[in-house]
Amino acid sequence: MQSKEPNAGTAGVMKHPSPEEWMSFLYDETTPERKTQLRAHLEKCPECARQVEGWRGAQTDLDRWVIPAVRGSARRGVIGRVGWAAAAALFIMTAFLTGRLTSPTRGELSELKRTVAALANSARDNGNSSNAVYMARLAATEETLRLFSDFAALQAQERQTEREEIEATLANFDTRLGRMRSELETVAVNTYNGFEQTHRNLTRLASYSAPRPGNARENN
Amino acid sequence: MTGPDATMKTILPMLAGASDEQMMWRVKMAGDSEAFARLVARWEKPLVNLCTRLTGDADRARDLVQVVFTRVFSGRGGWEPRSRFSTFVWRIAINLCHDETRRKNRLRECSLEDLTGEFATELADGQSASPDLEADARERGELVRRALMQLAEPYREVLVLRHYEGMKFAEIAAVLGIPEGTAKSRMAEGLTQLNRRLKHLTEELSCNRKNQTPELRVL
Repeated sequence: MQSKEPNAGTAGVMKHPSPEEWMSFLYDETTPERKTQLRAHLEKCPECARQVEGWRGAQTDLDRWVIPAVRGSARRGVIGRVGWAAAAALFIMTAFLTGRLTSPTRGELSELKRTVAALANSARDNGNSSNAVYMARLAATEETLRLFSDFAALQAQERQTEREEIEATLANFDTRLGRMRSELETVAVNTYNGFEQTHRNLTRLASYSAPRPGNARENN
Repeated sequence: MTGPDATMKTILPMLAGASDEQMMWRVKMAGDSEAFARLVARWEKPLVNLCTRLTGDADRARDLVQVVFTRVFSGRGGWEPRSRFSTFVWRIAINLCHDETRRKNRLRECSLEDLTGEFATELADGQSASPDLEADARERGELVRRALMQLAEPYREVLVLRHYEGMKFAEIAAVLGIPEGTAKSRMAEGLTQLNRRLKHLTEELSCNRKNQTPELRVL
């Protein structure tokens, strides 16, 4: 079934729409004109009619599987809006703190907890939540606080490890630099000594080759 | 007026009519926690439904959705404003469901629901509340769930996104990164295979019932 033109065959051979086109038809993604043409084809083509009927049956079966409503609870279930807002605020502040070289202090973590508690209190004072919902949100907020405290501690530990590795590398560089300095000094000293010796040799050579004033008159 | 109250009372009305992309922009640029919370409120149920359909496990789906939102927030720097938020979040959810399915296959986990065939399905709209019809509806729903779980991932994904989530084929193609024609052909093949598997499961079930003694049937 490959052609896009239904009933457009020649010599009595019917051309059928593709499965892709039938999917557009079944899910109402085709133009009204094309829909009319496809319906007309179904009336004349038992093979396509059988195929489309099978697909329609599968669609009906799919509708039989109904998902139950989301069941919330204080322990499981998706965290409420206040919990997510508080978690997001805490995540941002924790990410900011762990971006610094020093790890978050106890004072900073206490400040974070106060900020989240203020958010939770604000939501409670709005008077929109029942007691049970408020308790569920508070439990979710506390759990979130604990999780992000653990996250902050882990980040601090990783930063400490990185710092130690960097310090070790820098110490290694220092050692190598010191060695290179020493070697350069040796070369410099040897070179200077070499120059000195060369100068002395040249001076001696010059003293051998320069004519003495007394010798010249005697020879004449 | 200062403090969290001022923030909530000023910003909330502005966020009420904001699109997903506008809210995600605020989350990306300003780390706006209230905008993020609103996105969660909007997308929680559709994502739980999607993850339940793809994994066949409603409880696990709720856990996965929490991970989805965590990844949305932690990956906000990578979100491009020109792309739709729905595409962004569906992709994260689908990838997580892939990982979950592969993890289950590796562990060959068999849930209690799989063993007993009792999955908490609800009646479809319009069905009678009588116990026999209720049991029959649940059973049929469970068969559909099992048949869907037996399909290969590429077919199951397209079926779930088109039939249950109501996404257009063009949108499905964008989310999955495939041509639109491929999305449609996978849909056709998926429906065909679903029919075949449902037929097989139904025959298996009626065969099992015939082999049970009357006493066992009562149990």
